[in-house]
Amino acid sequence: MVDVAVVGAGQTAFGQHPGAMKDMWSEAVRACVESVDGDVSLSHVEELFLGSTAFGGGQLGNTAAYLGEHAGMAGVPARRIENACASSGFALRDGWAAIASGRADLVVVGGLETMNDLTPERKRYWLGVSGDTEWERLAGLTFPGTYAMMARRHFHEHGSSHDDLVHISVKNHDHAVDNEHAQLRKAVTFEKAASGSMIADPLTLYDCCPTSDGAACLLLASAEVARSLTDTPVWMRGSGAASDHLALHDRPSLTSLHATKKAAAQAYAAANIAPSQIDVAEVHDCFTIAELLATEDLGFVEAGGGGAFASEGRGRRNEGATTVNGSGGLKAKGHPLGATGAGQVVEVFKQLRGQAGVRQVDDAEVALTHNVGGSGATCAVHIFGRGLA
Amino acid sequence: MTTTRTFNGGALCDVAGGLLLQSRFRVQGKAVFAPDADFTTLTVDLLEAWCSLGGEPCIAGLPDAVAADVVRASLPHLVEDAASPWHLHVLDHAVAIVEGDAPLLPALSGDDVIVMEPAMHEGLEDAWREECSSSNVSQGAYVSDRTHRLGMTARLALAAQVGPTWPPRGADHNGQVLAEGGNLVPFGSVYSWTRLVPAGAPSEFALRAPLLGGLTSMVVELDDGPRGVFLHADGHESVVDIGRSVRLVVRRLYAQDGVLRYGRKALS
Repeated sequence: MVDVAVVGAGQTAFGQHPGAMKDMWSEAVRACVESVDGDVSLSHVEELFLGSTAFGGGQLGNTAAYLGEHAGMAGVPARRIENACASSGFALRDGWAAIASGRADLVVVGGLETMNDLTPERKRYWLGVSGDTEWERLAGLTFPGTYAMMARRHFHEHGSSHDDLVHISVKNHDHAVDNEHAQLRKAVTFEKAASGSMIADPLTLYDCCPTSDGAACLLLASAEVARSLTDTPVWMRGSGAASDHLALHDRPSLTSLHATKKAAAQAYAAANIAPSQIDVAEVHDCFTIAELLATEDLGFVEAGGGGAFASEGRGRRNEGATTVNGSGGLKAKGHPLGATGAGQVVEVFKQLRGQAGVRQVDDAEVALTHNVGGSGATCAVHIFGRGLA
Repeated sequence: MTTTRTFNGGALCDVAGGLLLQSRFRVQGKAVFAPDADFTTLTVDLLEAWCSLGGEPCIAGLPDAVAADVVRASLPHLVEDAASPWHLHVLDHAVAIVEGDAPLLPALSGDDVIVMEPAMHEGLEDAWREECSSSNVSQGAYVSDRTHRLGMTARLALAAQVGPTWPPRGADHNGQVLAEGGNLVPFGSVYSWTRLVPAGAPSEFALRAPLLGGLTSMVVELDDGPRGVFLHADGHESVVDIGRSVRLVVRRLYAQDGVLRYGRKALS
């Protein structure tokens, strides 16, 4: 297999974007190109993999061709990849595979979502379309509801509590203060986060990610091309992906995401590293309970230990073995569904090149991204390094 | 006063030559249905009570006031035979199964009554009317009428495949169609649950959730093994906890494209 590196990464700010879909994507592409150390032309791009749920249906068909054309990639074979919130995590996997297989040397992977330009009524219809519509949604469940069920079951089985989730919320808000791309650059106190208005019992407003616009773009290259473009490529050392039952009620456990465990096992094996070697982890915390489960499923702590991991602040920047969501995570950086996975890689790209500024994690050598679709029906895990091994 | 007992949230009593089930909900003393009930759900409840007490699942026919397809899908063993002596009668927010003429409707004692505020009742009636209008169409997540109808026996009669597997699958690991596996009993226990504030409820419930103060949804582990997710039946105060026993009853779920859709909801 051909070694693959990320040689460029850029994104828009996440939050309320003033532009149209094509403006947002073009801005992310420009930021990506500007981040490349050497000279690169988009005319050399061989494939475009774009993750998006096409939220709102504004450009539901041929989304990638439409956006490619608007950002200097007319003619490049383009396709939209849809796996709910894990869309660009899976786009990354496909882009990686295109190069690793020897089929291409230079590809663009991206993600995009416009969520805040819809009327409240239309937004409400679209939120939650990625659950099991026939059996879950029409029995009253939206994603806050499904994750609330997971939280309550975790409390029941492992003795964790809502206070543990509050610690995650406070940490991620603290981290986001230093992130110029974050949507919620505002610290919150434990007391305030603990007393948020209820959304889906036991989850409150401070347990939930915001609704976001945003785009992120990555440039992937084969080893040979990467070395011609930069002296500090970020190597992709492992890729893992898995699916699980779509509906919560079909899963043997509500306190662990099988797709995460399976995808992580593949990625760790490919990279030949252990969870304890991860310095930086950008995990999918659409709800605080999702981060708690991720720390367990990714092996940063034993099953059932996620509550203590959170309350002891082990994921805080430079305070534990692994910094978890140093960007602010989905919770505070924002969660523009299809852009989230690629956005996680933008953060990792900066951290491993020592370009993260005041939020730089000390001696960051190895990083992980964890991108989940819906309530865990799909998951992509990737491992990156400053070196190849 | 006739002795009644609660069954599926309604007031059940013996009447001469049969059984009667009436709504316990009252607005200023006047009988009304539960927020998600109607003659169809009351009829299913009554026939479930009738069969559980050893009654013969054979009736002379279904009244016009009920959605026959829903009753038939809910009770797959029900036989309709014009020669049957057992007749269904529709009364004031009540249904009865008797031999012969309709019985008199017995009064409920105060303890059996669930009082509903007039504003809430009117609001819910208006919401159902608007939801049932053909202009109420989905702009996103959508279950087509065909898909809904194909799932009716699984949804209403808990029809399962071997295993038991429920809800049904298209194929097993070998690509083979799973054989039918009978009907699951409508009993189970709460595996996990949540209460969604009105703004957090799916848009299909947007009109009614604010009036109901939100929605309670739960994963129920059925006594036969499979799990499913169910709403709590509307209007009934109850404590929901992990491990608590529930009974699954047929109620209105929502309306789309001008058609009311029914399913099972949990009652603790």
